Amino acid sequence: MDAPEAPLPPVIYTMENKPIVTCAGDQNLFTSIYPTLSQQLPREPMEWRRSYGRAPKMIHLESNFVQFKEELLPKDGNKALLTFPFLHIYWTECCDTEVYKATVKDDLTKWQNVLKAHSSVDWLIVVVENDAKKKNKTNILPRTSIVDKIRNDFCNKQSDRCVVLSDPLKDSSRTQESWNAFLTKLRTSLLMSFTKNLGKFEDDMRTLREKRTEPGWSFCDYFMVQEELAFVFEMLQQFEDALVQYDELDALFSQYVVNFGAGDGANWLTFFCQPVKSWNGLILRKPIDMEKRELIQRQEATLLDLRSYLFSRQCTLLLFLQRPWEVAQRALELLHGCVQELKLLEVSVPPGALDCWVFLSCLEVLQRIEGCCDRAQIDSNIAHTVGLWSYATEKLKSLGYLCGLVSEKGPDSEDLNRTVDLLAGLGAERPETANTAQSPYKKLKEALSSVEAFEKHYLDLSHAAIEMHTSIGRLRSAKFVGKDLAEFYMRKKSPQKAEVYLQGALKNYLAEGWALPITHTRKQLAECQKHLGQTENYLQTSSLLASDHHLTEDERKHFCREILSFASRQTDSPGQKIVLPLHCFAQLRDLHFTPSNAVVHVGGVLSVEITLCSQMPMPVQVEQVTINVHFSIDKNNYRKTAEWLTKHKTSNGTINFPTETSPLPAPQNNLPALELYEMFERSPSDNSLNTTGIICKNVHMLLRRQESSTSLETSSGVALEDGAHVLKCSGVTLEPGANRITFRTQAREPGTYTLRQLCASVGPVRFVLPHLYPPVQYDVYSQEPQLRVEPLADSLLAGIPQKVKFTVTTGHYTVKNGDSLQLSNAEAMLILCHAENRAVIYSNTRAPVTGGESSVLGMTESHRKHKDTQKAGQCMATTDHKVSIDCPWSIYSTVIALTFSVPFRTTHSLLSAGTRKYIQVCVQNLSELDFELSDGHLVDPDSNADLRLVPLNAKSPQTLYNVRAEILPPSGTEHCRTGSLCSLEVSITRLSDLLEVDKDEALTESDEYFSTKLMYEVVDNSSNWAVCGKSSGVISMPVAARATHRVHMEVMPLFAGYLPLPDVRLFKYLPHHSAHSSQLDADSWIESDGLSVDKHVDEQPDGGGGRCRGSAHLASGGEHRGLPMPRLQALPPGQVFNASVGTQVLVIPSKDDHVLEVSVT
Amino acid sequence: MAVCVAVIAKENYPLYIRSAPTENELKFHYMVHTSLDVVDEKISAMGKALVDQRELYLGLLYPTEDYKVYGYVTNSKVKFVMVVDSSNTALRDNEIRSMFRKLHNSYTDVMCNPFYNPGDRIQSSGSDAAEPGFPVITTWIPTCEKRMGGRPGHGPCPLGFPRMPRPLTAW
Repeated sequence: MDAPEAPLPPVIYTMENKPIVTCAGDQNLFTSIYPTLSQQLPREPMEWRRSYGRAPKMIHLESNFVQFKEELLPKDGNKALLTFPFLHIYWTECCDTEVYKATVKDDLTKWQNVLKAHSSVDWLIVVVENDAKKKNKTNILPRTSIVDKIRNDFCNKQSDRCVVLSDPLKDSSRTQESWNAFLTKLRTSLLMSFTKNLGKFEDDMRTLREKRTEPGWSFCDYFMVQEELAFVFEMLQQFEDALVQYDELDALFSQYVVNFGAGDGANWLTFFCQPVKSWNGLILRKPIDMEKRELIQRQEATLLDLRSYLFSRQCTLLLFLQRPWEVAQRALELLHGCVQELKLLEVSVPPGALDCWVFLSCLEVLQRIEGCCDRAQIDSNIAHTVGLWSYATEKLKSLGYLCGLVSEKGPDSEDLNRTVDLLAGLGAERPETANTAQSPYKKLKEALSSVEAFEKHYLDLSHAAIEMHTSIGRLRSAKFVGKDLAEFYMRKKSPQKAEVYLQGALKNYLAEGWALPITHTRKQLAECQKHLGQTENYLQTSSLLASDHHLTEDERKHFCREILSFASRQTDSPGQKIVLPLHCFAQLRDLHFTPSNAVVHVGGVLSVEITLCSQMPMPVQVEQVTINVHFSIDKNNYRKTAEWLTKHKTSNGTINFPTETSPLPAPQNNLPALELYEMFERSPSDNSLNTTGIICKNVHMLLRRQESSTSLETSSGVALEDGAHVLKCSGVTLEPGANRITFRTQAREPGTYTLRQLCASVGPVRFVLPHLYPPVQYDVYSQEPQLRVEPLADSLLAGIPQKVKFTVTTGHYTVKNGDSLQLSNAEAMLILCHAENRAVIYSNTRAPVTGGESSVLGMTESHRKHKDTQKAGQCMATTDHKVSIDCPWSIYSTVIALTFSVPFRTTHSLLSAGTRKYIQVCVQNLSELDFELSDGHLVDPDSNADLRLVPLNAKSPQTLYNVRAEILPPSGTEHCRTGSLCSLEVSITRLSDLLEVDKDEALTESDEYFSTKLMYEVVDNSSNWAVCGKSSGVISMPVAARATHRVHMEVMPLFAGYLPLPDVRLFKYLPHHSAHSSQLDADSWIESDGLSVDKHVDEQPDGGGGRCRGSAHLASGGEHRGLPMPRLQALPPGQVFNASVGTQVLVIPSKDDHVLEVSVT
Repeated sequence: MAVCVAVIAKENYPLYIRSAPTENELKFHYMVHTSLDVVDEKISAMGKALVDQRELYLGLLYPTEDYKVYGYVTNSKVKFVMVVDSSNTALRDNEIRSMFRKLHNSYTDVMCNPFYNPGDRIQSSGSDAAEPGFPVITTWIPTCEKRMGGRPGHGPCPLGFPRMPRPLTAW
């Protein structure tokens, strides 16, 4: 039995405590049962129902069984809970009435009386039954009798207070059953006792808390009471509940501090306001810091002591609950909170003391967490701990500055005194960490011991913080720590180490457009670059700073003077130039040409006036402003420029430049504006709107990867262009704000001049605008007359007549009457010139020069092939023909080469079959024009009589007629509907002139005008359509190519859906052998009003569908005459081409509601 | 009362940032900028939660010794950041929330202003940052100068254009 003799003084290690249960009666009996009991009790959890609506919990019970003593029972007013016996058990195995009466009953009575005296009601009597024992006795009574007696004597109405445990040490099912019943009873009794006693305790505690406004109330006393409850919960392994107790104490204290700050002071709080004398940080390595606890108990704790103790307990419980990351988060809150509370309570704190405390505490928390987590867990929870790392870094930094450890010279005597004082406040190292090499205490002590040690520790911490921030994607935070580091390096006069951090931070601020941080970091960078002697970078940064409106006027002037003084220093030794971007020095606002259209003739004077907005805070003397000009002799005549001018230049000839790179670059400004267009997609069948949306046409511009290296701080990108053509303006003083600078130039060579770069020189410093955008050009034109010859088509083809255009730009030459262009050409090229063809002079009103055009070569233009397929890959062979032209303005001939392509490729081959030989000639057209090959035959030039050439080309059937049918919905509607009339348009086109096959009976001739009679017929075999009116008719078709007949008739769709068009059939109409047949025939087509001749004005469509005559009309009409029927002859296959075969037309069902009559019988 | 208020564009550049007192402006700029790290983290943690279920208020971004930084993000990923003095214990979560809500309303007003070009920096008409109502800025009117400078096509800014009716917002 491990019952301690005396449970006082109070237990400390609550985890090792168990609720106390006392045992009275037969100690030997209990000792024999104890091993089984202590093993079985925690085996099964029990549900603990809680008061105040708290959620029930499953709890594994354990107990500390101690021998019953009266001293164990709490006296009145004793609030100790840990030592409170929750249950009293009396053990007996008496089975003899005599024995019972003689000793046990008395003993029980005594026990009961003691309990009653302490008003303890949590007790249990266990009667152990032993069969073996029973058998030995002769005067045994039934088991029940003793139990009944006890129940009768002691358990007044509570018979369940007496429990029987049968044969506890045997291994039988009865034993097991009896154990189970007993254990359940024991657990239930224990829990009931907890509920009751803890409830009572809590009530008392609350009462005490309610008295907190009374004068004598002490927070420390209350703290001890509530902590007792926390201890009990912790003992019961209810860490969550234990934590709640501490959190309540924490909140209560915080509220007092806040109230104190608001003027509502509690006098007990003044004690916590005593000056801070010790700052040795949190101690988290012991479950309970007894030293601090005693301080609180004795009411001697300072604010930091109380906070430290509270947090160490919360930390212990959170770690039991496996919530280490909450420890980190709470630690940061605690440290910040303490600093605030000390400020609020106006506690006097020596300088640096809090920094020490915070630093030590941060590291202590981090080491504590590291002690209970593995590396992988720590690495995946950096987000929780990085705050503590940064905070520690920050604090160490300020300690370093305070103790003079961050300077070149090292600490002075005052600094050293301060350091000594700070170290004194740390006290001696605690025994728990004394053996730890990297303990926070040792680290701090070492860091404050020397400049070198400080540097090492500070860099370690900073790098760790940067690395951690970076690893979890907190780049901004990393940069910010990096900036601190840069500041440190600058103090240590190591600008080369500082630079990379400053550049990194600046890049980040620039990318996100944070103006003030940019300015500040740039200022630091300027200093750094100056120390490093990076002249070019320093000057560039200076120019940026000089133009930065976030700096004061004086600061800006300072940086401006830096540039100017550098420039003046370097003038005597002409060395390398320093090229800087212009935009931070001055901005180009606009540009104006005189003449305003920027077109001058050779020798003319052009002036360019620019507005340059100086960003400098003071006037700057600029030696020279130059504009680099790129010259190109281009084919552009002035006309392209004129077109460009209308597009790009405002009427007054001024070009505005967008304000480039404003001092606050916002990333969105660098992107081009969205070009959005509406988009409608209609269904192809019924033209209903399927989809609508917005299309961005410049996605490629917007989604382009942003160049990450758009840093303005690197001047590498700017390159000076050296060109022969330069506009110059010397000796300019740029005043702050807008300055007008005028360049004058005399135009020399004709061509296009593009303004490329703008450069302002101040000593060896060149401020360069590398590209002018939008592009600016001026044009110089020559006044010499010019002649240009170009084909009207894309290319000239050899062998066919084509048109060529001559363009004369007269320039200064005036065209006189009778002036002519004299063409001398090679023999291979014929000029087909109509005698009456004269040049027509078109003059371009807009232009100062006139030009003449004339078509010289003339012939009908061939049809272009409607080729959807891509051009055949073969290239056409070309030949050049030179034309020499004598112009009236020149004594020299102009020679122009015209390139002709050969449109055909011919191949031939000799093939054999037996004794026969076949010659195959292939002619392939490579051009885009349609050619018709006719009358192909082979000729033997030697007229060899033995050779007989037999053409094998089969005569291809000649298509004579093209029939095209089309069904149109009624006017005003989009679609054909079932039951409504639609018009059927049939057009019959003759494709060729008179041919041999036409010569038959149907052909008639009058005045060399031939015509033939045809009969058309509209038939719908599939009964999709009802043809209204005449479905057939006879027409007289002129026998000439492209003669067309159009026939109009009305049809009505009977079904909905995609219906094939009705067939249109064409027959030759041969008159009956009769003399006056022609007369009759004429009538027969004239009378049909449903048909119209070509170019006949179409009848106005009827409003409704009323006109619907039977299709029998024609037939009956024919019969009426009683004349012999003419003959119809089918046209041979191939002569008729049905262009609309296979076409379908969409018919939608009519919307009419049909009444369906239903009769019900 | 907040000591610094910032409206930050989706692309993380400041649309509006103002602090009181002004002498520590730079510090607050750094602080707000750094806090975007946590804003980004919180937004990505929010993940694919349904838009209407999403909480716009991001809560405490991070505390420092002297200040607490709170965040809020609109559905269009415009961020509001507010820096509050740590010693100001009177400001509870609810007050912060309601300040953000007012800020959001003001921002919505600005967006409804036909003369405001989304993405431009916001100019506040409440010129004195130390006014008792800070940070709740009542009207933000883009200045005419800016309009004229940027786009030559625009006509002169009409004086005192009517304020747009407040839109129906879900917040």
